[in-house]
Amino acid sequence: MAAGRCLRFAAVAVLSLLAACQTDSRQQVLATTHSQAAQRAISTRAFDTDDRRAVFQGILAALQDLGFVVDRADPILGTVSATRFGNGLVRFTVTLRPGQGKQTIVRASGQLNQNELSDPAPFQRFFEALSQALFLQANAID
Amino acid sequence: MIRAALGALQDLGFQIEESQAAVGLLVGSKIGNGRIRAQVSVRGLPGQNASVIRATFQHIVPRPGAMLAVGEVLEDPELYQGFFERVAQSAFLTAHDI
Repeated sequence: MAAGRCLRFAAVAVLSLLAACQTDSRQQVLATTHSQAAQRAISTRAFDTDDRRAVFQGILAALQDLGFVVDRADPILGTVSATRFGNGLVRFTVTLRPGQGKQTIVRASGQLNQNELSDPAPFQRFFEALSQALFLQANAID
Repeated sequence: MIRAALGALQDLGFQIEESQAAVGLLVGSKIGNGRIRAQVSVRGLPGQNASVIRATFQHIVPRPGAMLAVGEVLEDPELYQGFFERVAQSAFLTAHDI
């Protein structure tokens, strides 16, 4: 009888632990500081060119200027993933896509150690470096 | 839709580890308590103007000194619902050049 109760207690404990793990992982995936639109306003810029190749190379140059090493570059989809060590581990992904007219939209996102990048400053630094690499102004999106 | 899925992964802070646009495959990861990996595949439905998006999330716990890490597939329905809501929102934002 006592063994049965003990077993039941153990089962409940394991189940609640499992549920807690699932919630924790869910939060780890879905939790963000800003809304999707607000985060995009911080991390997206439009450049007045439709030269996709030049923008792609500009992204590679800007990342290199900032001390990143590229992990993966996919010119077909237009994504570059890069990592920087020192002063914390920074993982950065930059994507580009055609915008309206002759514009190319560049979007960055990243993590510093275990946290998402939600502060505008690192994105500004990246887009300044990209502007200089492209000789083009980075326009905010609205 | 692959752009919408890519945008959603970026919105959630995933780093893109692998992308094969021709076959509609994206793999991303996020570091936190261990590592979360996400694989998203997008395929068009034949004869229809619609796509099927499929996602799998994995939680990987590194074991220092061990050859293999331990991992599990996340099977929480609310996690997947939340992710697909982000994809829908991302499709809307991407279509409006945001």
